[in-house]
Amino acid sequence: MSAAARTLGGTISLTKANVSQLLQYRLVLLLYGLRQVLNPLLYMAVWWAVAGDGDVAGFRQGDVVIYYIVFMGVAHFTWATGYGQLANLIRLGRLSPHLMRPMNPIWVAVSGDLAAKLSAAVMLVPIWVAMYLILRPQFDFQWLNVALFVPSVVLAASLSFVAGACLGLTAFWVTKPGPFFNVWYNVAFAVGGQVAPVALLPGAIKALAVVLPFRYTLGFPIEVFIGSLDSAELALGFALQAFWIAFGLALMRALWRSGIKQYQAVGA
Amino acid sequence: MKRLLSIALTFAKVSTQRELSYRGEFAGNFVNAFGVDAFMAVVAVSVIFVHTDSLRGWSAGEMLAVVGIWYITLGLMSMVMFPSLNQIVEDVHEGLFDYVLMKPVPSLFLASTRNFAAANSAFVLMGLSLALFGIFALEGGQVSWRIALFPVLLASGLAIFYALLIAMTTLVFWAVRLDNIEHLFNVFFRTGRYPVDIYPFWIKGFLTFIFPVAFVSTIPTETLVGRDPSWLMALAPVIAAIAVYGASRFWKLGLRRYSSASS
Repeated sequence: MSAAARTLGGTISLTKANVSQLLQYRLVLLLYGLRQVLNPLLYMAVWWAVAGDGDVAGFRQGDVVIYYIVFMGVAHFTWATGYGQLANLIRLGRLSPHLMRPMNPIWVAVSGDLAAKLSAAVMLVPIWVAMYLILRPQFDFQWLNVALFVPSVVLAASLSFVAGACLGLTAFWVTKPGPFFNVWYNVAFAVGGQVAPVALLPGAIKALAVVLPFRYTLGFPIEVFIGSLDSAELALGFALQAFWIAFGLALMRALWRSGIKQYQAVGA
Repeated sequence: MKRLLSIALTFAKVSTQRELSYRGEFAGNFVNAFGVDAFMAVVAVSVIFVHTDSLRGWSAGEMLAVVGIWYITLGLMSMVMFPSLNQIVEDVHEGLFDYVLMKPVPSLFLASTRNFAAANSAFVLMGLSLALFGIFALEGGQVSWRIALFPVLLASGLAIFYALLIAMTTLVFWAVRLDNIEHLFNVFFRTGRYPVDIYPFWIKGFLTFIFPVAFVSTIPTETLVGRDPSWLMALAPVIAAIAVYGASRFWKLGLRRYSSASS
């Protein structure tokens, strides 16, 4: 069996095992689903009120609603869990057994990430559909946008995972990298598309938000879906998304290589 | 009464001493509150008010005041309520709750004062700074006589939430596994960081009467920014008294279910 096939097989089995483990915690998953839906609701209400009868930077009330409904789903699939998993593996010394296996432990985090997303979707999807039915946004679907939306979500999820993994790998050097992650999470919250769609951010912050990686982990796929971008902006968006993933992967590799050299298991 | 007060103070002192031995974490809380949370709160409010002067009747400064008061409440609850209430869940789980019942002090009092997390005062101070900044720097500090109602309303709001948290915690006597109670609570509590007026009326109703977060953020802030007193303000102390009484009855009912866990 080739190394790639072995890694793929290993990741799939680990994901299955993780899913069945996570499905025991149905209440936790329900709470997670509620949180994913309630947090964006606050900003939906804000921009709904600001848009009023007219529009705010081109967003009418219906656009605001569809933006945040899509947000609820995208935020779920681009939710970075790799951070906590890697940080814990390293900090608690649980990385050691994984190092003995013929598969890079990064894939352990990948499978954990996939499992968390799949099992939480069980609770999230019904709540999400209910939200859609309650709010019933007026919106014309453009099939081209929907087709572009799928790759943009996959890329956003990958970028988010890589970013979380890089932050998690800092646990090789710092005991509790929590504060780093907290800063990342908060900045992503502000300029990534949660507080406001990036198009509504004021001048300089908007320019910064377009260049920085945060929007490409969250807001960009939503903008693709609702069709608020012209073709130049779309091309630039996908290019930057690819660039940040490549950059993140290189960084992750470098962090892993130098980190593993000085890794010492905690405990016996 | 005096005895109870001195017991509560002693608990607070001991907890604080214990916490001060982790100075890094203490300092980290302040950095987080002032460096990250406060900054993000200001950014979020600024982004909104780039596009409008008033959001359902609330100006930028008034909105910051609501966020600030919300953080004060969150900070106070994380200092005084969450640590002790989480301990109840843990103790019932592990059968250690017997020790609370054996002491010659009312059990609810003891159970809800045992722990104290001084490090969370960071969020109280941060919230206070945000509120003062919103009211004085942005609103010019036109404070009227209504400010006298503020302490009463904040206290009523806190009492309502104390009752709610006690009632939620009491459920532990029926369902021993009650993890994530704080998590569930936080999910809903976050909705109160902006004035409830921004929501459609059915959500506003939910946040006023079912999960009454309006009573700890929006309603007290209305007195600071000089809004006319509403009938909800007059009602707040009454609701608080009923809620606390109801919660203590529910607690007694729960206690009867408790059958220890040892042997």
